[in-house]
Amino acid sequence: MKKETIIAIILGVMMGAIVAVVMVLQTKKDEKPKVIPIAPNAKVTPINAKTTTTINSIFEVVEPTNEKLTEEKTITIKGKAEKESLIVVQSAAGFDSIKNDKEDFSIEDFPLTQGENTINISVYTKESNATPQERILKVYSIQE
Amino acid sequence: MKQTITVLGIAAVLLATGNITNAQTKPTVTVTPKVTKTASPSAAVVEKEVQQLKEKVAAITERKKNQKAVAGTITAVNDKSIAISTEDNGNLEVKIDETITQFYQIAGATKKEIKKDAFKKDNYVIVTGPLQDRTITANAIYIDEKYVAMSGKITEVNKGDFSIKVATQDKETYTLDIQSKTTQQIINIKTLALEKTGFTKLKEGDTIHFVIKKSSEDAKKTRFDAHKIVVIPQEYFQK
Repeated sequence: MKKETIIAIILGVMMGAIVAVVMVLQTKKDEKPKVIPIAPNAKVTPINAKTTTTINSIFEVVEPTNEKLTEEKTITIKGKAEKESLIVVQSAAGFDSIKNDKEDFSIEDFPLTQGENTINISVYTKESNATPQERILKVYSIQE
Repeated sequence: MKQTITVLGIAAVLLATGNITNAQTKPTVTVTPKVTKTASPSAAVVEKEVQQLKEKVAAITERKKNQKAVAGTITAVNDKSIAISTEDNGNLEVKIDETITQFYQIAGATKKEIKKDAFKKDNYVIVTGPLQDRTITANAIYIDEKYVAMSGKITEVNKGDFSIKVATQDKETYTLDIQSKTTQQIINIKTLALEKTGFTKLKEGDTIHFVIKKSSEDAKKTRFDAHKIVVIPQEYFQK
């Protein structure tokens, strides 16, 4: 290869690099920083925070215990749930629904059938987009 | 004289034949009285049996005090034990006591006594008795049917075959066939009272609570006849 050709290639590459650097610097200069107005005392929410409303929602079934054995034909269901929740209890033998005006709730005389009773207890809080919470208990009623 | 002798002779013959006939028709029976223990048990034996019965009753009472209930599907039936597979307690061995264990079939609200031979593989049973490690000594075993209560949202209503699709919270989708015997109810969103409803009132987006009968053979099945349904209209959540 001739000397002139080599010199031309080198100069061409150098010119291209200079042009690229200038273009990158130019585009960075043109970008304006985004300003998000924030109220002076507002808390800044982290990006990965959960926004569903079921976090820290109370739901506990105190009575009966799972796999309880009884000779009775009815049972009392007691527990805790967020105030003004819709509490729905269903099994093959019965159904009941209440709205609790306080955290403690009690559903009395829920019917039991002879043998195994699978009882589904669901809580719907007043938040319309909340996922309901659910507990499934088994109660065995052996009646004479 | 000759006549007298003749008459006497005939009388003697008659008497003799009469005795012979009687001897033939009335066999003599000699009775020798025997004294056996079973015919009249002594007081000591009776007391021993009563004591054994008391001990058995005490053992049953003790076992009932500490008894638990477990339910599962029979995987094997042996002479003196049954193997069951449970949802929450894994595989368990059920020991059968010939003198104490009772066997029942639950039918609706009643139970009727049955024999041990009636228990077969894949029966769903409830066992009561004291549980230790992975063994339960059965006081009683009941054949029962398994009903499951679940809830979810209606995602599809198929008017052609009277079925609905429901997506549950654990991301399963069930197809429920609404039969004429299905109990269908809806919650009044103002009073929360239960009211009767019909298939035409079901709509996508409604929340539904349902009960289905699910045996061990149905583990992978997703289409069931709905035993009962209760609908919470979506309008309740839109207040």
